Amino acid sequence: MNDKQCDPICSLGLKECSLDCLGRGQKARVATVGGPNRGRLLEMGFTRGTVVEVSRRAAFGGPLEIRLRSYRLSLRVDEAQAIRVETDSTNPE
Amino acid sequence: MIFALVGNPNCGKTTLFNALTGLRQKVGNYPGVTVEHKQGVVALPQGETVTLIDLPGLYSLTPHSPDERIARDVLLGYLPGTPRPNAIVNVVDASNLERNLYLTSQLMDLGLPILVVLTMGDTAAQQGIYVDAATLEKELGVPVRAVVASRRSGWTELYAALLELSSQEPPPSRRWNLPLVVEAEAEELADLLQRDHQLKPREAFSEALLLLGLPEERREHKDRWSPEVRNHLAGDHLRLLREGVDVSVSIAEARYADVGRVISRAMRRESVSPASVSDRVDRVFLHRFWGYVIFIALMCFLFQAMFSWATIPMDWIKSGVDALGQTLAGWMPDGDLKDLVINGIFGGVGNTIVFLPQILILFFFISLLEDTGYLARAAFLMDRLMSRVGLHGKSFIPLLSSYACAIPGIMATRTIDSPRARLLTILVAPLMSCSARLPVYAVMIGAFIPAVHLAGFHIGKFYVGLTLPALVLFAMYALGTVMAFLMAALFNRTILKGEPPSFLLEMPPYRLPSLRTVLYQMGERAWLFLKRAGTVILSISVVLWFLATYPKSPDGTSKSDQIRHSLAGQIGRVIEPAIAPLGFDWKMGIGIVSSFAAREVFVSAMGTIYNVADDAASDDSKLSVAVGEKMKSDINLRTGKPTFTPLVAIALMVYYVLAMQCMSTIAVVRRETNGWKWPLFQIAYMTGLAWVVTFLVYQGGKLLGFE
Repeated sequence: MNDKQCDPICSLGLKECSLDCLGRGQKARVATVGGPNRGRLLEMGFTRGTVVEVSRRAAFGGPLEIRLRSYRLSLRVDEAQAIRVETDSTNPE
Repeated sequence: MIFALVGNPNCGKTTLFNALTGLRQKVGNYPGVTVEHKQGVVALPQGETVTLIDLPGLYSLTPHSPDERIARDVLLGYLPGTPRPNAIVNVVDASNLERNLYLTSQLMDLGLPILVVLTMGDTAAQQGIYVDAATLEKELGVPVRAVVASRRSGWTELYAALLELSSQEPPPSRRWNLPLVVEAEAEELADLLQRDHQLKPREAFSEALLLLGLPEERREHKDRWSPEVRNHLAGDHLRLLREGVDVSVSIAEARYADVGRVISRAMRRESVSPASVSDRVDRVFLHRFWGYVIFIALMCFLFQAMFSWATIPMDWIKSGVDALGQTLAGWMPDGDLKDLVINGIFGGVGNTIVFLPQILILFFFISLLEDTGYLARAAFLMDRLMSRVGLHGKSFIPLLSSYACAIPGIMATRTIDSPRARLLTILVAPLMSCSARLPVYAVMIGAFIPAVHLAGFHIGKFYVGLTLPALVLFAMYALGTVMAFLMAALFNRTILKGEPPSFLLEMPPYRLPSLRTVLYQMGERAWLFLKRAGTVILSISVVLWFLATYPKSPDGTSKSDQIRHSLAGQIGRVIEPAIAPLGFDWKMGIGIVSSFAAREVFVSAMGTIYNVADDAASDDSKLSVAVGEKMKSDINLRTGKPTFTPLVAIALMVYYVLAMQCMSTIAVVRRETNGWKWPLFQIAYMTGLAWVVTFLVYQGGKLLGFE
């Protein structure tokens, strides 16, 4: 369950949406990264094409746990919203 | 020779540092626990020694946090007073190779000799990841040694490599390529840096990449560079942006592409890795419901344990100090010196070291949580709550540490990336009830709050459940915590307005805590506490004894009259009008004034005052009477009622929860915020808050008929 209203294009089944729209356990590839922490996110490995998975969401709209490059990182919802990802009909990997 | 020890947070760097230098320090599991850069001496086999600087953990050389700024400044020789290291020892976590090698890629640009130490091979193997050190060495072009720090395997090879490191060649130059436009801009900028700042070619190129990769507003050390460099940089950004090239993306992608090439050869991953132990544990510990239940249960357990388990060793210490005092009293001739030793020193210090067991238990829990990696989970669970008032999930650890002592707590705020969230955390951290307040709570609760059983059951002699004293203690901790949040929310909306801080938190795998590390940390805390009891508290006890004893009244004056006329009594009465509305008399005034140095001094101050004032002071058994008993039997001469009532005791505790009464904290805040502005603000707001809330509690309590 998402606490925030998601990008309408996700629900249309289009390929690109923001990272926080992904459901738990869903994987996608990074398209673009924005927001004030952009530089840090890039350095932590959110480069184009990287496979990311939302592995957990904290309660009450708290942070998301993301799995990428074989480690776990947690992000706030607004930070995850600044990351655009591409979902494939065929699950990556 | 100076080597810098560099690595990502949580890569086993601190453990390696301990093993190499033999200096024990904190080893935690929370990313970025090493906030200070520490150094130690490594004795190499051939009698040579090397100084090793343990830099804070960092993800990259781009300074996003104060920690990373310090580390980068040391490596580049920018930090005044710290010589530039001759070589780099780069610790790389095999279970998290890809991201760790990103930093290695940046370090190799610096042109210093590098040794890569591969750790956590065992953790990696559990996850089905195997890294071949020899291939890694070949692909990176720098020596790689694999070690298991706890088992000391690979040690001989590591020492041999360290011995050669000083004479080793710098790493091969860059093997990865940037898009041509970026490459051209970086080279132009590097030329300019060489010309204007006399940087060596490789340093200049590395600096050029760091400068190009930083967004305009995050660029630090602006004034370090010549106007031409700065103008060029601004022009570069515009030009590249117009061509649709994003420099930071290009650089990160190029580095990760090269890292990908290296790991595709040096790392083997077994196709199917079963869900790791950490994953399975986190299914419960980070559960949206059970995670919070466990968290709250852990915190409740901690406080109950501190109050019930600790009483047994506390009784031992109490009787030990009593026995020692009585023995000494038997040997010494009567007179002022005996009075000083027995009342001033034993009464003061003895009453304080009784609280050692509680401090030990608290630090046992804190270092256990830290070592296992649970504190990062706590930050994950708590971030939503923290961010509401402008704090950060990472503020949780400094605030939790402040339950033990605000000083390490405030120092730990260096791991918070956002300067604003960091300052906010520093401002409210001293509101968390530290262990120095515990003696005050313990003595007041012990004397004035009846041990009523509220809910629970008996197992033999032991009562399992909630008692009224435990509830009051919990309420004091809760009051400080709630006030910390309210004040944070207030400051967040008023004096510290701005962008919400970022939250990027790595979840390290759970690790078994090392008993040695936990015990060492407990010992360190106990020693710090005893040192304080031995120095600050001892000298204040002696000064107070002096103030309470002189000027001497004529013989035959009762002891309580004596203290009324003493210097201490006079000071206490001067401030009495200010504290009378809070229900405090001049004796408590003496305690409050003297405990400005350190809160726990209150107990020893009261011990000194009441022992001196006691008419039965010549009785040898007086030391065995706890301070609390003395307070209980104190009668206000004017009203004929007891000076202390349960309401006064609670008002006094509330005052101690909220008032800023710790010289050491003020000194640390001054150092961490780089000026007197914030510590002075803190003294003002906390003392004001303490007065107002205590006034409301006392007067409200009186209106409700509690007297």
